[in-house]
Amino acid sequence: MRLTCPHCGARALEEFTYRGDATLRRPAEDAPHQAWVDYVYLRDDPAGYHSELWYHGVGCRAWLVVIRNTLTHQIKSVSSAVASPAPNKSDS
Amino acid sequence: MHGILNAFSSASQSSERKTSRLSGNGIDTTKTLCFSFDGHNYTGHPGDTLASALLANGVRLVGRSFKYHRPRGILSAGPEEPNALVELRGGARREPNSRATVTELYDGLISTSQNRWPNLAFDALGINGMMSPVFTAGFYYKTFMWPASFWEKFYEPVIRRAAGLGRAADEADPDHYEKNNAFCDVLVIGSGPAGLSSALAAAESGARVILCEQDSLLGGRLRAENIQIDNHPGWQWAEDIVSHLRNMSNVRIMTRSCVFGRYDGGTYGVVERVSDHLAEPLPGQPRQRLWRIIAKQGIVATGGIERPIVFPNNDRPGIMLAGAVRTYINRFGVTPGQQAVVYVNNDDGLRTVSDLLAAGARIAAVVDSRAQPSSQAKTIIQQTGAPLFFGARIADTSGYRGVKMAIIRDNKGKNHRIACDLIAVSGGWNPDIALTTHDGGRPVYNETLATFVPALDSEDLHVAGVAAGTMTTAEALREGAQVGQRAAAQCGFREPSTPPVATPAVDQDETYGVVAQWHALDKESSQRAGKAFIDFQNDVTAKDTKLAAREGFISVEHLKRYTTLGMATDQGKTANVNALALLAEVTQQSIPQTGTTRVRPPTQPVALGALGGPHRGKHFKPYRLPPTHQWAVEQGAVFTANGLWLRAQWYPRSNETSWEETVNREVKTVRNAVGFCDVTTLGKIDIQGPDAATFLERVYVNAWQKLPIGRARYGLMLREDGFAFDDGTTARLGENHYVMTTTTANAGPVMQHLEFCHQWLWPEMNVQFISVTDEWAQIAVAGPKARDVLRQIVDPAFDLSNEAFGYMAAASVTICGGQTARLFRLSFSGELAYELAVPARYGDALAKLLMRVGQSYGIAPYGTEALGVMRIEKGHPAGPELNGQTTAHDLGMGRILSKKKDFIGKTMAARPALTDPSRPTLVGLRPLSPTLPLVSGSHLLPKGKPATACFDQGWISSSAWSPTLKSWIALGFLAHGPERHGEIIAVHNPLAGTITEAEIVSPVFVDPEGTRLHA
Amino acid sequence: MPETLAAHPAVTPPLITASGLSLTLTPTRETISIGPFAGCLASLNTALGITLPETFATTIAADGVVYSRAAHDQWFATAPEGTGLMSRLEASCMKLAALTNQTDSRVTLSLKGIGARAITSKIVPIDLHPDFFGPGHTALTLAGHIPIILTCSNADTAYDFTVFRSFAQSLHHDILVAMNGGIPNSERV
Repeated sequence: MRLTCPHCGARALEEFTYRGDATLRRPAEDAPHQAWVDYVYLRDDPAGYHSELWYHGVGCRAWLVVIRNTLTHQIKSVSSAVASPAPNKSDS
Repeated sequence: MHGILNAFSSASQSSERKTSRLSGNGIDTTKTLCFSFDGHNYTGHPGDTLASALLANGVRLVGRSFKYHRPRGILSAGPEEPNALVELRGGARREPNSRATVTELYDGLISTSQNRWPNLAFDALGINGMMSPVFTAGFYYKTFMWPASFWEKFYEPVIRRAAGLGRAADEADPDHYEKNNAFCDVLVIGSGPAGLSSALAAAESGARVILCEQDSLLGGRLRAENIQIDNHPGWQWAEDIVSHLRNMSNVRIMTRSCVFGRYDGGTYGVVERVSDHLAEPLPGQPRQRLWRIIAKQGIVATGGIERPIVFPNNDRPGIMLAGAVRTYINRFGVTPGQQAVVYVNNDDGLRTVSDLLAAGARIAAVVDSRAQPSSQAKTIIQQTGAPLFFGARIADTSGYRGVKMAIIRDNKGKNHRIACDLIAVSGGWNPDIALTTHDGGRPVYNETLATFVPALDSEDLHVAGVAAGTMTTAEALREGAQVGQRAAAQCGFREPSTPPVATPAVDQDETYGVVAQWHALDKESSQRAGKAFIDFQNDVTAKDTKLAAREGFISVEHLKRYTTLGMATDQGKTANVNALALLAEVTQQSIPQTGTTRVRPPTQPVALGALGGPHRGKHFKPYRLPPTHQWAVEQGAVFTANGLWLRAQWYPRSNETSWEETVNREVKTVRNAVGFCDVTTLGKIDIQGPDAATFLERVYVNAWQKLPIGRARYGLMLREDGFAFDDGTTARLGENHYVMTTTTANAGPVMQHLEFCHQWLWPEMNVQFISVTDEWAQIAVAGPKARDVLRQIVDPAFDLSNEAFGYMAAASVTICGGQTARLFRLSFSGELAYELAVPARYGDALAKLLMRVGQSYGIAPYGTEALGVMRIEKGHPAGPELNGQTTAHDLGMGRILSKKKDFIGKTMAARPALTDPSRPTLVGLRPLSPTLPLVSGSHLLPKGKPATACFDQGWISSSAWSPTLKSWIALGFLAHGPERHGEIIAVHNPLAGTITEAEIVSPVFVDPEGTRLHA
Repeated sequence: MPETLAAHPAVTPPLITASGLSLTLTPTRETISIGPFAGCLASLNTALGITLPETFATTIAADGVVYSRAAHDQWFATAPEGTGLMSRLEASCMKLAALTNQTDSRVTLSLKGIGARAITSKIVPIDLHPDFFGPGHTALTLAGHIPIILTCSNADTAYDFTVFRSFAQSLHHDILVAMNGGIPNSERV
């Protein structure tokens, strides 16, 4: 699989580290316990496009939001995490 | 006994006749090469494969089959070969299961047959053939079931001996393998008519083209067939196109390069056999090279694989694929037999008749399974006068070590016994579509072609020629050009206004006209279905398929696994479609309903050596060297791997007889005088910005806002789930400037974590990070005399007194008269200690300087082992304690978790289960008998209780012999640990089966008051 | 007072040749990382009198200082040693960016000669065709398993591998092995 880093260009998988779901938002410190359990442990496993976080550790050290089809590995978009919608505003 | 067998063997070998060599378009008969097979010497020519050379020498019997040890010959002329597998070379280069059909001949080649004992002609295990009922479908699951204990000791060794393939080398591979990367717009796979014309069209459009050919020669089928293009032999046309392509700067041509897999993102795996065609690689030259090719567009022009027809005793030496017979004639100048039966279900196979006649062979019969003779068949028969049986089949064959007779059943059901030494079979062609299926593409069945063709729904992959089901040369050339242009256009290269390639004229009327005949079994011959082979390499017969279906294995995936069909090293290249057709017949389904199995990479066997490339032995992974490495080597240090780092483990002296003696001496040196140790490997991260302190508060559990400039503090990081992640000290160097240290192992993960927190969680924070791990050579100087030593080095302007530079102080200083350095008063050992950092290039000189100025104080370097002993003596947690399963509470650090701020892991760390006092918590342990070792991993049990899980109260994480206490000591985790100091507990080592006793003590064994630390 | 400290090279030998190519440890340049603080990039550019390169494809040279992109939000400034780069940068942009000395963090191995691109391709998984990676281009990527900053100094014939100092000897070995393996037949050199 290859990802096109918005800073570095198209690169092979070994330059990146996967983290997971990019739609999760860190709950507030005093959020209900279940919100924290959801955030830390519970994950969806969608068949199709999935918004996820990758780290370009070997390259520009940017965290990236990648929209990837989990069935075909087709990449719809790769964007810089800092440039993505502010984590606290969106709650998709 | 042996003598008799050997005599028998040489008699049979000497009876083989030598055939006369014709000219072939791929061989150089002006030069002669010597080679051997099973100890007999033969000659061949440059351009030969081992198979062509063996055939030229009249050798037909080349191997024994896998299960039944049936005599086998050469079936094909390409990589699909299931039978002719040999051991090549010897010693460390011995290579089993090498396909003779793709093994290029070199002078001095040594090959031996496999899977026979004592020799090929007389194989004692041929008796397996008589036991064939035992070896039928599912025999692994049925025959060797009981008793279970017999499997390992008896069944498996016996089966391996009886049904094994070749022997791998016993020694390490002496050859070198390398990797390579290449990029292109258009990758063309295969150099037959379709491949060459698509490469040419794409290249003429301006695209960067790579043309990969697995063979040593380009041209593909044009070398195998007698085809005229533009009034020249097809192979000459191919050579002209190739030399034209070689002159184009945007084209790279790779031969001996097999594209074995297609992966996501236009990534292709290719193995180049750089020096397989030599006795051994030239100096420095790799044996093979693994390429990763990234192509925007791929064109699969891999041609086809001819199908055998399943008939009784269809596996005898001398029964070959018709296309292979033509290849041996046209390319290699070898006539594989003198008296041939040609058995076809299509016009293409009939080409064999004229090629055989041109090579001087006699046609004993033409068997065409089609009900009516095609016009092509009529023409050929008219021209040759060979007897034609249409609507006929081969009902059986005879000849033990090579075919001697075909029994032909004509369309009236009458048998004809025809003497022959060659049966050329064509059951039609299967497009070689493996590469089109690696990304999930499912092929579709084409009734007209009686085979599966690719169903591509891909913007970046195209198929042309036989691989696409395009069966004639003229159409393949035309289609190749179209596909080449289309692929280039997809990459943004506009199609030229005039077609770049004038489609060459193919002056031959090619027809295909296949009519499916999967097998030749009828009511009578089906009794011999047990000898009608589908998968030659795994000895799977028509009977096995039927049996599997009868036993309920009617899914194609189940059939494959139950019968092992298609699971040998050839992956069933010649077998799979026939098997599907037979299964369809048995289950009374159509072939599309029966489906296909999923084909996965690699398309051909790839050596593990090639996949590993240069990354083997001590270069399996890279290594990192601390700045004092060279110096430590000169000191005779022993090294240990710490992640990628090589660190000095201890520094033995000539009078020391064991590593324990060395380590004890190093510990005593630090505790009594002064020692030093390179700690550069700890991760160091420079953190700057107005929000730096706030950021540290979020990632560490403890408070940071009030840390003064010039001070350092211990910090603990949790994961978001509340478990400990990493620890270290962070020093404040300026108003908004900190330098963080991490453990050696977690330097990278912590950096990644900080970037995540900053870029994703709190992008509003104004802070910057960069690694300075490699910038500074950092050396710990520890021991009561540490200050005295440093006073010799640090410039006098800096006051090192305890009052001015106390425990946890940090400062930028100068040393040696102005050299920039950083000094931290940190201690891992518990002694008066400092860490002195200088720019990395000076680390080596600093070590030498410390040795010189410290000499009068008794200074000595110490390694990671002494470091570890001292940190256990001092109760500092390290990797074994921060194991991903321990919490701040478990580590005895529950109190430092701040309640005044949010930090990573705070909420989840507060879960009751993670702070339960009954959770195993850090303690120290001393054996009641001081010299009795405590061993890491031992379990802690209440005294007198049985060693069972329900009494398990904890475990030992680290242990060492403490030269300071003259006792074994250990750190461990124990339920209610801190409340139990003084209690005697049982220590169970399940590996040694021992139970000993130890006293629970404070984890701080040495200087619990910290007097030495603050001295 | 003891003598001044002597610098120790990160790799030995500092120069090696094989297959007609040379691999050299290049002289150290003073290297400072510049990490602009939030919202400070524009004023930083003004203070430096340049525009920090927006891509990895370009480097900018001004007053003997070469600026190149070093991370998603960081740049490197390099200059010959002894020209006081850190002091100059501190004077102009102390409050605008994090400045960190990186001079000893990395060393640069320079591969030169006919076929340098072919040898580099063996271990670097990016497209080095001069149309995409010409003189002045840099890329943060891998050489085998080792993170590097690759710079093209001359199309096809000269590439600089800038690598963390601790990895230098390991990378040196890997490049040398690639050199000894020779230039693949299919290469055009």
